Amino acid sequence: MKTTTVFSFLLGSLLLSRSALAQDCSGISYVPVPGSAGAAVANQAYKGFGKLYGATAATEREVLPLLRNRIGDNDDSAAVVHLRSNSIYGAGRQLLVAEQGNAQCPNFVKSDYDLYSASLGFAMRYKWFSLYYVTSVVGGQPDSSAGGRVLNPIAAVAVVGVYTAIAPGVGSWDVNEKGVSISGDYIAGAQAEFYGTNFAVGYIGSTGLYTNISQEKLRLFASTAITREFKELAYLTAGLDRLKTIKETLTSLYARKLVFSPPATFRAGSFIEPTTKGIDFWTGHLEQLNIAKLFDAKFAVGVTPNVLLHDARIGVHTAEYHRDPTKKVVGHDGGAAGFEIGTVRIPENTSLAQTGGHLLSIKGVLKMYPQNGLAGDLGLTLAFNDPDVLSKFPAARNVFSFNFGGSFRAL
Amino acid sequence: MCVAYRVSKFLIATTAVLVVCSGYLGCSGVDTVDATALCDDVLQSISQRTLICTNDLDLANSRPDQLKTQRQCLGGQVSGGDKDPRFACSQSIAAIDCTEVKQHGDSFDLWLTDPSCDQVFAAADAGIDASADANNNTGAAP
Repeated sequence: MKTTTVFSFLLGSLLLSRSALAQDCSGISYVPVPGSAGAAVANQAYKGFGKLYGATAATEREVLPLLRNRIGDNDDSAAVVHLRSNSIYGAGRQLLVAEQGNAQCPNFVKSDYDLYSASLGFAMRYKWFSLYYVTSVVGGQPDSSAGGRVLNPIAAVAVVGVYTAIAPGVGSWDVNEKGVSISGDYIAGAQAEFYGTNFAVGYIGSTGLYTNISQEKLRLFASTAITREFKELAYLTAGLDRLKTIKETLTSLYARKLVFSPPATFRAGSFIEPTTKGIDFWTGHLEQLNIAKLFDAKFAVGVTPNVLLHDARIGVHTAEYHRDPTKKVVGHDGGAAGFEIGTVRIPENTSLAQTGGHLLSIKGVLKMYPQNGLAGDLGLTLAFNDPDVLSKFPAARNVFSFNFGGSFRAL
Repeated sequence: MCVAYRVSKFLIATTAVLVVCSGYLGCSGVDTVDATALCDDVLQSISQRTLICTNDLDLANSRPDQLKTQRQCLGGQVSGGDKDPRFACSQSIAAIDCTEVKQHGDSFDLWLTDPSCDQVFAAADAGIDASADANNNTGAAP
């Protein structure tokens, strides 16, 4: 299958859901103002999510943990499939202009743009050795209808399926036409376990290296993603992950580095990636989860580029919401629900139109646990200003996000 | 209970959430704006070039504020298509290379040399009319 054919299919699936900005202007097509700063930020958002965080997040949080010795009664071998769709509504705003002037319709508007992402992972383990392959795509468009906003999260799942089939052949994706953008990336690698410690390494399709080390009993971990042709440490996180401390309380304590890349520069009709390094966003996180099997408390402090309170949230949830990650998932029927509220702040960055300041953060999560045949959880999250989203899209403010997905045991 | 049944229950729940939320999602988040929005975009372009060329976030944040204190933002309507000459102002700033960015510093006459920028920001000697509501200022040619 030719790459251009696939691009056409993907663009078409998004363009079909494009709509007019007002009912009376249904025939008017709006496109980003050429060369505008807002369009450059939107372009960066599409690429940043698809090219790095979508695939790394799925690998780190879903696929690798499932490969370890907790996915079932059979310790010798396992195979898992992971699928998730993420949607961010109003990830940013940009200027749009009508392609053709019309007296009844505005020529010039400022519009939210959305991001639709999906990740798909396959992994298999035999004894101490595992192989994994995770792909991620993200699509964005400058304006959306209600129908498009409902259907695009599902369409993203179909798109990632296509990309998964061809990613090793075509490499990372990057296509942008009339403000509709799709990009994709993948990580393919292996994991080996020695004496309870897992070592994972993977090749990032956009030319980079992913590594992950985790010690299961001590709950120590470290992950890195080196990108830009192995030149930039774009992602690093290390510390304790859900260590059981007092009674049922799980404690996470970790440091994280993200890079806020400057937007691409618009020259001669296309976006050119800047060669300069981005702004490092170092944060320190302390999370006390499952307090009395009922409450969570999460704090994070930003260290660079400015010292600030990045994240402060409290949560309440049902008893089965958190599970001890050192224990095997065994047959269990039921589900769980959780709710969080607090504040989140991203460093001021005028180049991204990020004004800084504290924002209200709210998140609701529903989980369905497996009994048979499913390896992980089926989950559904609806959030407003989710710190996980804002820290990876530093231009975003007051955004709704929605994700759903799950992990399935195939063997 | 079979897996397919559980997955179908989950998908139904997912769809329900999407549909329930469609009240919000139906809001397309679109605002009609005039050419004053181009001022914000030019300010953002200057910040972007400053950040890319100096890697100094504080400078990239403060430089646009300096311009705002020195130049009046002009308004006016924008014509359809990409023919409006004012769109070229942000493009011209994006085209400034890093050597020039460092030379320009805080001299906004140098940043805004492209003729298109004259219709986005008033000349430096025009000063700032603090009482003017930029959103209602239609002094610029459409």
